[in-house]
Amino acid sequence: MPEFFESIDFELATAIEELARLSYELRENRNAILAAHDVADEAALLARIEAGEADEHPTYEYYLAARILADTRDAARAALAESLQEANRT
Amino acid sequence: MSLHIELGATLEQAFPDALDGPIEQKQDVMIVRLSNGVTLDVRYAAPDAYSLRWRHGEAESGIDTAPLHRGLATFPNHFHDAAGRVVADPVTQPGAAPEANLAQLIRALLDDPTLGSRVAP
Repeated sequence: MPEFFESIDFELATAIEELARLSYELRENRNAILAAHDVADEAALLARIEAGEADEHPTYEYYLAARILADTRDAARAALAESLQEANRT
Repeated sequence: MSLHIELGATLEQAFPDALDGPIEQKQDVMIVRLSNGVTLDVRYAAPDAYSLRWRHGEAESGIDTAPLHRGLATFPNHFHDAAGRVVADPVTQPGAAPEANLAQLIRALLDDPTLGSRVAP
């Protein structure tokens, strides 16, 4: 990995590092929400709300937060892939 | 990168004089502070999945799309008013453009922070 970063310019290397860190944080934060509610995914959390097994609020906000974190992570990963492609061209 | 980033930019352009400082972006929530003292937490996952909760002084209210209150005319969206009642949503429409819903809510909150004038007593 150090050799990979030696071949690309500073700005691109910084962007790749930040996107990788952001993607990791987004994944971990989503996992923490799901783990706190003992569910595997967002759909299961919404089902718990609908079944009356979890309070409407703030559980619905946690459900939305998990979806937002997942969508943002997808966007970060796409941006990361684009940056890596650019790095491989240099 | 995310819907919140785009929404924040749109709102800052649409309400240059109505915001009390820049919109704060966190990973899962966008915080909008209005010039009249309202603090609005926005969680917009999709045009039909959102929670908009705000504080004004001691009063807390919110509009959201949790699919629980089937008896209301606006199911699934509904309004939790400052008195703790759950009533039909007087402002937003699921499926509408998020920026349109948010702009409409902000205009309503600038006019009446509790939306009390929009619901039956």
